[in-house]
Amino acid sequence: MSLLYLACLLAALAALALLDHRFHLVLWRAPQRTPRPTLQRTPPRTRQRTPRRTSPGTPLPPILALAAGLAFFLVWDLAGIAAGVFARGTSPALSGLDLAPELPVEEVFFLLFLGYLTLVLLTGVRALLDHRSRSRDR
Amino acid sequence: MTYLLIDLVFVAIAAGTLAVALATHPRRSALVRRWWLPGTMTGLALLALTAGFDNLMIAAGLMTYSPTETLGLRVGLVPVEDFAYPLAGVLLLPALWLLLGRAGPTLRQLLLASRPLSWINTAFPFAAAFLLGTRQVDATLVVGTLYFLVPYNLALYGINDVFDHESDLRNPRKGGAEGALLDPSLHRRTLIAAAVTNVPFLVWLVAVGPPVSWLVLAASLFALLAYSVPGLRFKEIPFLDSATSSFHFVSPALYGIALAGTTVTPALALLLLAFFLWGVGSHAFGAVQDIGPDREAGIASIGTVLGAARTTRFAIAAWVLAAVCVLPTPWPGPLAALLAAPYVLTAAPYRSLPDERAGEANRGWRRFLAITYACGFAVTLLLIAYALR
Repeated sequence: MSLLYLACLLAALAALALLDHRFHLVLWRAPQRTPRPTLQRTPPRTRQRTPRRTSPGTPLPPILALAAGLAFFLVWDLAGIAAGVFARGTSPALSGLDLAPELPVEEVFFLLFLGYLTLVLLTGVRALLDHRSRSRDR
Repeated sequence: MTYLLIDLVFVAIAAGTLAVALATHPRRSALVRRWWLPGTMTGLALLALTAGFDNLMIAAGLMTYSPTETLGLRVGLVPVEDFAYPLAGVLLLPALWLLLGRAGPTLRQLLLASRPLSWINTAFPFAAAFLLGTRQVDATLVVGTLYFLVPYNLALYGINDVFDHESDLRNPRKGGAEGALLDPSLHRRTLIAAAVTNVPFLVWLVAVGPPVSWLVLAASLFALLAYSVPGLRFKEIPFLDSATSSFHFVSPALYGIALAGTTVTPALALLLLAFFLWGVGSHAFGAVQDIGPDREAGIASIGTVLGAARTTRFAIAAWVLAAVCVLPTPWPGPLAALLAAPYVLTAAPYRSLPDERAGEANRGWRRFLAITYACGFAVTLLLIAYALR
């Protein structure tokens, strides 16, 4: 019983967050240059009172997408565990803390990592392609 | 075969979500042109990474697979069925981001309506009460804590905002951190969102809980609704308003106790009574600042009936009584009595406040919010000290 696997997962998550932060990919996404014309169809003047926003840059959609993705993967895991497909291993790198029978607490962080990695890769590849086409044009 | 069948169901859900996200997108072809290549490359990269790291994880003994429920086809040590996870991920996550991105402004409103500053006030009492009873982290703790963190508050404050819109419009305090002003166009969506987020959690909690916990949960939800729905409107009945509001915070703790099956000793009952009295006082003091807007809107509250000065004194009395209640509890319980002091000191300057200047109590209310975080921290330390004893 140790925190080795959990520490590895947290380090991997931190590494993704660093990439995300450095290249403005997911949670630190830069405002997109193309304007979105359909967002404000009614001029704000005609509304009775426009509710104030907390901070305009709060990355709510990607956070909620990661949370929903995590929930989806956890339900999948629980289905697999209930059907007896897979089970928790006996590795000494596991902390021994279980959220449910056969579901170690580390799995939550692994699934979160999988979702975050997906979005970082997706936006990262796009940013790389954009960067290359820009330098080609120059 | 079982693993493959489960995979098919979840990959189908992921693919279906992506199909819906694309089909409902206004500029689909531009979107697909821009993202098909990054999407494909991400999928391939994830499959390659899975082949590598899954082998390491299985070799390290982090998980095991049933030989009878898998096909038996393996890439190294990895059952081929495992590759469905990254496949579903690359379909589902971008789809969710797209769908949620379009719902962004609505989601932001709903988030504000749930009062993020207050989330901890209901999640913590539940988690602490449940954890002290079971003394172990399990799925029900996580589900219950998440429930009292967000969906419960969305229902509590969202429903309140929908039926309070009239008086909120005249209240300059609403619309920021202390309370959201809900646009009428969002009323129906708020009620739907409250129902949709609450039901799955409630189904789980009822399924795992003993019958006694059902009663407590039902009482908690009744108080949640009765506070603001037309016909009951407990918030407009003086004294019942403070009691109901306090029960909104005490009932998660009661529910945690019922769910964990903890025996209620006299000391525990006193602690809960103290918590309840603290909540009654806090609600009453919070009502002082709203006396003006409430009277204008014709809404009765403990504040409009007693007036600013007497309501403040009522709050101070409730907090002092709460402190008295914790004195006979086992060590370190009596220390919690000290926590009444900052509250009494904060409210004391308003003890003779004339009703016309009731709005000034907002300064005290803001300090109240800060004190509550500090006292919450102190209570946590006391609970840990008690648990380790």
